[in-house]
Amino acid sequence: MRWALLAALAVLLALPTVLSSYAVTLFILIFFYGFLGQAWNVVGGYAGQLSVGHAAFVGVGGYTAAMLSIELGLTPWLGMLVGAALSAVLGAVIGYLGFRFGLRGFYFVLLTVAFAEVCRIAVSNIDALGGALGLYITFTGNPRQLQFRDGRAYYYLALALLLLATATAWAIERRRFGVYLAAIREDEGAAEALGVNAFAYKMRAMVVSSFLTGLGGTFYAFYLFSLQPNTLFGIPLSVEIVIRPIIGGAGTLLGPILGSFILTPLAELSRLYLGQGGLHGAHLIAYGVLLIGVVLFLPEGAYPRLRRALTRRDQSGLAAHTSTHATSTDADRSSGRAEPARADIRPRSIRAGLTAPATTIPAGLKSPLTPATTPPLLETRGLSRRFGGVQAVADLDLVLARGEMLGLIGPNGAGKTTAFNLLSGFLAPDAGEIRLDGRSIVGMPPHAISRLGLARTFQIVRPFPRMTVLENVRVGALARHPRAAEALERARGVVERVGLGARERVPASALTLPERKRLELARALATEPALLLLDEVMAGLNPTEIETLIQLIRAIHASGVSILLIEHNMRAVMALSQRIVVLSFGEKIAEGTPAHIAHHPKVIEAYLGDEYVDAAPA
Amino acid sequence: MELSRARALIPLLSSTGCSVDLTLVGQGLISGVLFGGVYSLMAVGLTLIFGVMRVVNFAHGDMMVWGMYLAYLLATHAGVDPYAGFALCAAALFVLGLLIQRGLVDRIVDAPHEMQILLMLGVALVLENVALMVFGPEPTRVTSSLATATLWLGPVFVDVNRLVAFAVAVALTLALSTFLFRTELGRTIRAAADNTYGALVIGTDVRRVYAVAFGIGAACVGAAGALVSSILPFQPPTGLSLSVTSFNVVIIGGMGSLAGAFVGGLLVSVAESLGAVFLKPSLKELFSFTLLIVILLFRPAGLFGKRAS
Repeated sequence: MRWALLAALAVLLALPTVLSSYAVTLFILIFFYGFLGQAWNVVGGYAGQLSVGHAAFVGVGGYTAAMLSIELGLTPWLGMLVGAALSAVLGAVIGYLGFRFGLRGFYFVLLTVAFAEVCRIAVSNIDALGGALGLYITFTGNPRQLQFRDGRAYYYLALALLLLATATAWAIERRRFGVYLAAIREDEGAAEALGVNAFAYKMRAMVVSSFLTGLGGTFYAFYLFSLQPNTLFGIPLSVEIVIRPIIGGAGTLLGPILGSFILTPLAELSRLYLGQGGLHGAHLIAYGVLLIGVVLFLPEGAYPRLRRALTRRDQSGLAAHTSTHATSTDADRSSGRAEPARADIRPRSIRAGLTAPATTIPAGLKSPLTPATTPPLLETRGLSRRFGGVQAVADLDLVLARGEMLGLIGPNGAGKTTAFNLLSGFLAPDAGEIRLDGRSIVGMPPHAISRLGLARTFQIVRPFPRMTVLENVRVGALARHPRAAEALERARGVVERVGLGARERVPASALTLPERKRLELARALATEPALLLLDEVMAGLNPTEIETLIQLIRAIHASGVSILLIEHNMRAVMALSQRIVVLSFGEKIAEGTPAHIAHHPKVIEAYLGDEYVDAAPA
Repeated sequence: MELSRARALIPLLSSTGCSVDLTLVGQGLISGVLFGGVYSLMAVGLTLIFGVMRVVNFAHGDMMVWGMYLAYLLATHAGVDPYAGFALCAAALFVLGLLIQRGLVDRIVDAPHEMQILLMLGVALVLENVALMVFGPEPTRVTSSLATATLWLGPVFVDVNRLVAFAVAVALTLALSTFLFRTELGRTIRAAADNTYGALVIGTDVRRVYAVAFGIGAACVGAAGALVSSILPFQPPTGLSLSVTSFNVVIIGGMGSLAGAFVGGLLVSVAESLGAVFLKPSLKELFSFTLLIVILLFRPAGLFGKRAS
């Protein structure tokens, strides 16, 4: 694959010597739209934030460089960077508003469209910027002014831009940045729980994307020698930018390029042949049909399908990787150490032994053996949360000592999951205090709490469906091991440990429910927590599976992780917990050892009704 | 008396450098309200589709343009006045909506938002550019028998064209809400909008409800298109700005709320038409987009809606 890409690059470098000038123009457009698509891909594909306002960045970049050149005589080679920087500022503003105010899906699309339209209308009305007529750049043919008499210069410039954006996307993809963006795209809440600061990463993606797109604005302006607000800021250009990476495969490295190689010639040829025959808009009809077809039949885009077809063909065994995501395989390769791409041939037990996850407590949290004078690992005081007329959690005091395994039980609707959401930062309490290792964590976002060493699972499992088991767990491991290769190594150890080793390359969407429960556990464990919050991990499992899971949780506890578990399965909760807290209608009604709780009249009353209290076993 | 006092203010305002003529403001207000009826009808269609299926119809404006061209064809080839032809346009768009729902939207009702948006964007591109191929890029306008009729109300005139469009649009909106609240099928549609799963449990044919709702939503813009076809010059790209205007109205009123769509339509129209009085006409759009951004950020649920996550 790598050799094929290098060969393709060599051909592209040599090509202008034999191409006609029309073909050179066609390739310039392919590269340029491929570049814009790749720049969009960073935020729209990898991070999954659908922007349909990217034309605004082209416009801001192009107008800035053109104005600096016309008014101040600044060379566009520098003006390009100024324009890109201003685009990045605009990107940061749009991103900040959209992400801070939590606009998703359609709402985010509208925000980006509205900003681009505001820019378009504003520029059309500013006479200093040429108003609705736009700006014209006089042709000098001076390379210092980004002007060339030979069209092949633009060819190489456009190719350079495409390579720059692709190299940027590649660098993002193989790093933690890219893995986190993919996790955010799949399930932002679950990513937060694994220590991902979703807001910060989305902002970074937006800034990188708008900066690159802004560079493209200068190229556009100095290639066409004219700038009109309606073409540079208009919605049609935004659609042109979005459509190629989506048809090629959004969130993949080669998707935008493939998309441009498919669509740009199609658009140009239909514009040339059908447009002349008076059939305007034929290429846009083709776009529309392709877009509909891709959504219905190829929702991942063309590239992932093509790659699968290719790997299926040369499945000689050694180089074949069944991963559906480029990220894992690229990260494998990016490892500085001798990490072979082929399957590890060591016996599984040895691998597990070599790569067993660290049981060390993360920095900032003391070892489990510190004396009892230190504060409890987790402590809440007067914790309360109300939903409308329902007091979900009322005045809850909870103490969990370091190294303890505490059970949290109660009838349905008792407020257990709400308590977990309060502890892990997914909900803000109305009142009360939460201390983790003596430090108040009220008001902290989930990712910060996760970084402090509190990991949680979700009652309704939330795997990243399109990632493999290993990739899912790696998201968690990256919290403590920022290097992608090292995190992968850690993740592999955790996957082995929870017994999913044989399934590590299977996409999470293909797992059975018991396997998903294990994956949920593995992901949380990979963040190397000091305290693990388990929300009904036994639900839906059969007795044999429950038995193995009990053994697994015991082993995790024995390795030094404190555990707070919500559980409806009484056998499991009695077998595992050292102490149990019982909630009913948001209030703590009992607390004590499993034996004590089993005979507590209030507990029996809460579960069965007061007429059963007398029937309790003595 | 109010009017004379208002008139007395005019020289005062002019002498202080403010050149706004109160008659112009009144004029703007009236034409804003009258045109708002059409905006409301358009937005009611969009909000009905969204409320029932949680799908945003990005092709809404392009469907409306097809309503306009159908009115144009009826007027030029059959001599049907758009104020009579709107019913035929609505019926035609109902069928188009039904087909689009059955053929395309039905397959992506449960898909992620992004996929739905992209599909509808594809539909919009096809509708717009087929119109471009068939009718060409030149702006068109339908001539109606009412085109030049005006009524004078004191110093301001009322465009009869707009008055009729307003009356019909409001009547259609009222008819639609009567249908939704008073008939069995209407109640079923509202039930499915409220809780799809619940509707399935009690044995509702949800697919049929979806198809009918999409058809009605499309019929709304079919009628709205016919009603403005003699007021607004149109060309195929008009669809995009009409879509954006409908989104604007629906967001301001609250996604999924019929009352919100109705009130939002009047508000946006009045705001645009007053904006055109106070600002350069080309800036009036700036006004509504800024309003959209502010509403998106600070009141994403709109004035009447529940927040749709």
